[in-house]
Amino acid sequence: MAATLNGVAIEAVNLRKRYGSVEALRGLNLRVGFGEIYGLIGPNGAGKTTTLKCIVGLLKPDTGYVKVCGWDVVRERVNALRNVGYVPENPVVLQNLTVEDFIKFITSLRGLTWSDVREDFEEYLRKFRLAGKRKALMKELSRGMTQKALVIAALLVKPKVLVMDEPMAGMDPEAQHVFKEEVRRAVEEGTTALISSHLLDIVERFCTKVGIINEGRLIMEGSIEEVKEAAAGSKSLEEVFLKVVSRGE
Amino acid sequence: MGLKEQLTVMKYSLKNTAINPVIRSKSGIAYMVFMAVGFTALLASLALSPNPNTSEGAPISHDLRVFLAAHGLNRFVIADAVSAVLMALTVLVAILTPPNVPVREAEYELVLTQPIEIRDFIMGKALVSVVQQFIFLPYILSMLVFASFLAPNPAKALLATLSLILITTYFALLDVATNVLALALAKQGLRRAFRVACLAYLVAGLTHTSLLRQLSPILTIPLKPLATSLIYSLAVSPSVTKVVAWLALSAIPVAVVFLIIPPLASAVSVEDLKPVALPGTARREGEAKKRGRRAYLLKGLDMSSPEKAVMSVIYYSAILNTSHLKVVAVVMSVSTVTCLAVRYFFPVWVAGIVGFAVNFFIPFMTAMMLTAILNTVITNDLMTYWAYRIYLMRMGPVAKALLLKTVTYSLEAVVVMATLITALTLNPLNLLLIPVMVPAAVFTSFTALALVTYFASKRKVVKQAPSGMYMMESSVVFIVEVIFIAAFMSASALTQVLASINATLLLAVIALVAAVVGVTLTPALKEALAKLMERYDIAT
Repeated sequence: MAATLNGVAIEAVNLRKRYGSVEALRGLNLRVGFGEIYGLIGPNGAGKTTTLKCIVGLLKPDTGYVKVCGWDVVRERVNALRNVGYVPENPVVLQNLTVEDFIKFITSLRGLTWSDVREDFEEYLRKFRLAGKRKALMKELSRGMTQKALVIAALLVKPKVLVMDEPMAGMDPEAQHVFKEEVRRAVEEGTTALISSHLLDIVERFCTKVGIINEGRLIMEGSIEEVKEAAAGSKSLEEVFLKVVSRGE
Repeated sequence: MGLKEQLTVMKYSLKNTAINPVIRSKSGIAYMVFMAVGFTALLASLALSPNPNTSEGAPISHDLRVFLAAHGLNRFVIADAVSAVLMALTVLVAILTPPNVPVREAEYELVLTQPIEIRDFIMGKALVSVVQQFIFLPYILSMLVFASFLAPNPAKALLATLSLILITTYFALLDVATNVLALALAKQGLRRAFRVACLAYLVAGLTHTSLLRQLSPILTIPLKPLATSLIYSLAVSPSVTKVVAWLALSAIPVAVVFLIIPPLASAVSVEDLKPVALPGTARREGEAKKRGRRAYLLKGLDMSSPEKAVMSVIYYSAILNTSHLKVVAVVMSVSTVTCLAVRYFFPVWVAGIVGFAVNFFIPFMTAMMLTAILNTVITNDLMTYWAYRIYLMRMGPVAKALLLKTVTYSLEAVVVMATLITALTLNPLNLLLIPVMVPAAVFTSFTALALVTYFASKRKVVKQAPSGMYMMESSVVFIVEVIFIAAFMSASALTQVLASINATLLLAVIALVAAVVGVTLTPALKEALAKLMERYDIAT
């Protein structure tokens, strides 16, 4: 059965998630439209990673639901995840695979053959300056290099929705630049990106829309200009963040 | 020496790894209460057992004594044999321990950036390993149960437990001591010479043994107190006073190992410490990196379909690689040759001891080995659970590969055991133990993986559970060990009894049925495991 889209790539409705006595999400609502680069920002412990994990089906919300491209992530998990590429917060990888084997492995899990992705893979390796590490074991890579490999894996499956948790952590400035270029290109080709990040300067210049999450709720969202306007004419996203979060407390 | 710093390291390490995980959770407290009640009940039942001074203990211990006597094995011979085994293990640990000190990542990042001497940090960790032996209730309880079955009276059961704790303390400290010793020797370029000397010691002990036609003092003397206190506490004749005296002497080897740590630790610097996220993997990874060597895969990675990719990465790369096959071949060859040598060149009673060890102790060791292997499986394969969840979507292929992998590891252990028994008895029918054990191996592997899946999503750090599982909880370890030990001992006993009376046809039928059951069971359990993985992983 085809899913209903209505222009919404990710739809999270009334998400609640509790870890023991800690309520991580308290009725969070989030809608990310097709073609957006959505930046999710918030203080530590605000619920960003929990939200992202609910979106990619790694966590089941206590109440509420998440739809990706119209498919319910819990009830229609397989259909929903066919559209997803994910970069986790902690770069946990198969340590004893080479970079090339790791990428082959991830793409083949998605049912892609090597010939489907080889050309793009070579291109990404070159752009992210990982060509020399093709035969290196994943455990031999630095944090930043591992992050690059994870981003490449996520981009190679050509997902409709890219969900990335602190994707630029550990990346050098050149790789950050390449990352932004490639995500922009993917978005131009029809991908939607949801990025959680603490790098507010980058979010401000890179994302088309931003959501501020605090204490498990989305407390503000809109285009960069809209949130600046809403936060009493703030000059930067950093100023918006500081005002909104401190007001929330 | 900064005793205060050492005690501080010990206190917070204990809090971090042993105390808070238990007392800061309701289930942990409930578990401890359960254990404490069990412990008290067991102590009470021991105290109230009839004729504590004259009883020969539980029927099983009486039967065991009859069995041992029939094979000419008295407490002196057994104590010597246990001493020799402990000494051989000590030498092997000294040879095999790598020259690095693994520390937890957080310790590396936080503790070692504080103004504290590395020696004090290592001593603090050594103290942790000592204290842990005395406060880990489930472990003490299991030893007490073991001792209460074998000891002739309650007092001796307690002394046997204490003796077992001292033995494990000795090996816990030995691990730390050999780590720092290997480092100190490596820095002076003497490690290879030391390992050769250790090997020469072992060879000298074995050669002397074969010349004497009895166990050489080279092997029996150094750790005699540890072994004697244990065996005497399980024997009927020695008085409690005598056992206590041997127990007091047991403190000597423990103290020696403890006291050699500080001077050796003084030579350790921060760069010698290897930060690891997961204990156990660090050494292997460190060594592999140092050697710059990679295991060569006999079967290349096949990524032509999701199922084949998962099978390649989880199963074939672990089983069909040169280093794994080398280990299996070496273990098989060494154990078989040793058993044949024991059978042909040593007195009958030595073969009796080895046979006894194979039947009674090897299942325990195998079960522990299996749980260690399962931990590695979990560490290596389930840490990247997120990738399967996001990109593979169905858990069937993962369940299949994991199940086959753990079954293969279990059966490899069984193959070694069956070969040992065959070499000792020279009766090839004992090889049928392998097919007889197939259903137990399948069932144990399934149970372990299912429990891990369940507990990881329910009881571990909840935020991380769905994206990666880290290690088996002690309750899972306990269940797996119990199932495997029970299955192995009963299958082994059945096979050996039937083999000894040459009931070839019956044994062959049992083996065939068992193999068919095992093979039939596997796909069904794979499906069940896949369903469990899909259901429980996100049900947090």
